[in-house]
Amino acid sequence: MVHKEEGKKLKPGERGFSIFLLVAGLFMLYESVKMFLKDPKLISHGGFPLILSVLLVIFAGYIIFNDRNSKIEGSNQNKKKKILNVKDYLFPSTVTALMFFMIFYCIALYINLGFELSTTVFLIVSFCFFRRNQHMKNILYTFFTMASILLIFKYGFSILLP
Amino acid sequence: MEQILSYLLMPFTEPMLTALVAVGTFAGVYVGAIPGLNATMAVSLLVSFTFGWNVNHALALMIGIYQGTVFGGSRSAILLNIPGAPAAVATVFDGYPLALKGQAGVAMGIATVHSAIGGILGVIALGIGAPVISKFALFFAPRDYLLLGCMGLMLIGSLGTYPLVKGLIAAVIGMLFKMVGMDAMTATHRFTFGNPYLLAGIDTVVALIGMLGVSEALIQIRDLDTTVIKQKISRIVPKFNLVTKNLGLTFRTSIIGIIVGALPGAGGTIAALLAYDHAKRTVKNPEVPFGEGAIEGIIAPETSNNAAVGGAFIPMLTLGIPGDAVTAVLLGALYMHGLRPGPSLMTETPHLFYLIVSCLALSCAFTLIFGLTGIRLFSKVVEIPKGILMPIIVVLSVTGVYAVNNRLFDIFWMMGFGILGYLMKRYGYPTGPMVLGLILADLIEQNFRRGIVQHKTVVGFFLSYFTHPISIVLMAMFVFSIIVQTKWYKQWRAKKDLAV
Repeated sequence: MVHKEEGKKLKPGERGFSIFLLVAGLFMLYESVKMFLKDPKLISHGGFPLILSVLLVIFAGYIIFNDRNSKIEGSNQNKKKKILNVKDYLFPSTVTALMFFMIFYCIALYINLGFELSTTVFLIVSFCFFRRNQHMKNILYTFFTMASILLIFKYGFSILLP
Repeated sequence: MEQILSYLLMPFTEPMLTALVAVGTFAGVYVGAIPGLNATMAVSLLVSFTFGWNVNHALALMIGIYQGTVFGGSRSAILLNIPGAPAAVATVFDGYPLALKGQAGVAMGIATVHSAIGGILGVIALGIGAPVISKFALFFAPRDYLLLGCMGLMLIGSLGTYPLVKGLIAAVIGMLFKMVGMDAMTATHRFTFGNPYLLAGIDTVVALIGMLGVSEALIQIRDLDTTVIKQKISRIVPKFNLVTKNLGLTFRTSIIGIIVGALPGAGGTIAALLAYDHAKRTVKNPEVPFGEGAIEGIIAPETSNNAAVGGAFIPMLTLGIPGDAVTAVLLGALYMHGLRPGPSLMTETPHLFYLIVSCLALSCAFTLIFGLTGIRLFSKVVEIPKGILMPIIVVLSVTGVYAVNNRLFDIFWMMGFGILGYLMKRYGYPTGPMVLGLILADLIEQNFRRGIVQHKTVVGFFLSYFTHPISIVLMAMFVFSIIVQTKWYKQWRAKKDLAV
């Protein structure tokens, strides 16, 4: 099993993630117990989820216990700076941007804007964001990608597109 | 025998199958060469696209991609110092230094030839070993399958660089996700919270694409810059004596690859690292020291990781337990096509087993062809900017997820899994065990419940492990696999190594 490393440093937000896992485990445990009580046998539909939830709680608790004395990177900074550290660690501008583009892309598909239009816009916006000052190339890449996707999946594989 | 031969020749007599293996291998070699794209991601995307295909065709394409990707990873390892696929991690140690010396062609040639040799030896082991294990596996009871499933989860959680407990958490989360929906044995709702969308459960392919495709795109987009070493590559076909001189090492590292590949939950990465370590220990006087461009340092991992491909199919086809993350995805694909991998696969659909064997062999031959040609194209492919590649991965993931059930709602599930996978990776939780957990959850739960029903009580079920030689051996292996992961064993081992 994991053993405590001397001077081990936690990543920004790592303890929070462990707590999130523990809370998720406790919630699943609560739901599993409710299921289990309806038919309290290990072979019932609630038996196996109960075992898994207990394991999740134990493992998450173990990680939190094991990391209790570990220092967090940038722990001597104020609260605002700490939150910014977590944000920078998890969501730097490129990741945040791609996540946003993805969410808008999925919403566009969900509200039936059409695969061709949504995908073209998603690609061109993403390419232009990640490769600035190369607009002509980005447009060409978008055109080429769209053509390939339609050719391979729609006409080649006969796949129904969103 | 005649029947087996006719099955084995299927891909050669059906041009469509040959073409699909070729296309798969070709695409796999280039996909593998691109850092950030790996076999698991490629195969999981393909599962959704080939869902409606004839199973033979779907398998031919996926096998080609799998074999090709494992080899393709060596290209960026040599040219960019970045393993294109996890299995090429050890190729970096000597491949890149050799490239820096202006011998990238030699490195790539050696990697290609030995990948093909390793691949072929792995296929031979699969062809010979699987039928034997399969006959043996017919005697397995539910308790044995339960143990094998748990062993698979334990090993994948521990053999990587991640702490065991984080691997186990990932596996448990994967299994808990699989509990959502209707219980297969009693049709009772579990974790549905009254939501009709959850009644059918979480589609494994949707989760796989999110965990492996989208999360990887998010991880890769963090670092947009890749430094490319541009150099002139003249000769790539290695000299014959260079290959024959190292035949002993080739065979030994193939065996390592086959054995490690066949261990449930292990795979090409571990095989490559062990083989590299073996080469370092056994090759006494290399022409160039290890780590500075030793040919043996390329031969060992490349032979081993490709041999592991054949090995990984052994537990998957004979026991229904995947050898690595890619075979876990392939296992899911077989289930989607209505097949049940396990000992009965060999008796019910023997043609499928031999088709897999011959497709793998064919793919090795194509690896050799595509690996020794198109060098200029390779140099271009590995340089594709991540800012272009990652949005394309997102589009392919969306297209793939929609293709499975034609439900737009699934795209949001995929996004959720992608973000969860990203967070897990950032905090050092491996996603491989979660994938295995998702795929093995049914097998583990059903055998657990069947076992208890069979032996009336939990205690009776536990005691039954000591009533049959197969169960005793498996239990001993399981206990051993736990012991070797404890810090006490690791400390004892380190002391022993130091003493030697």
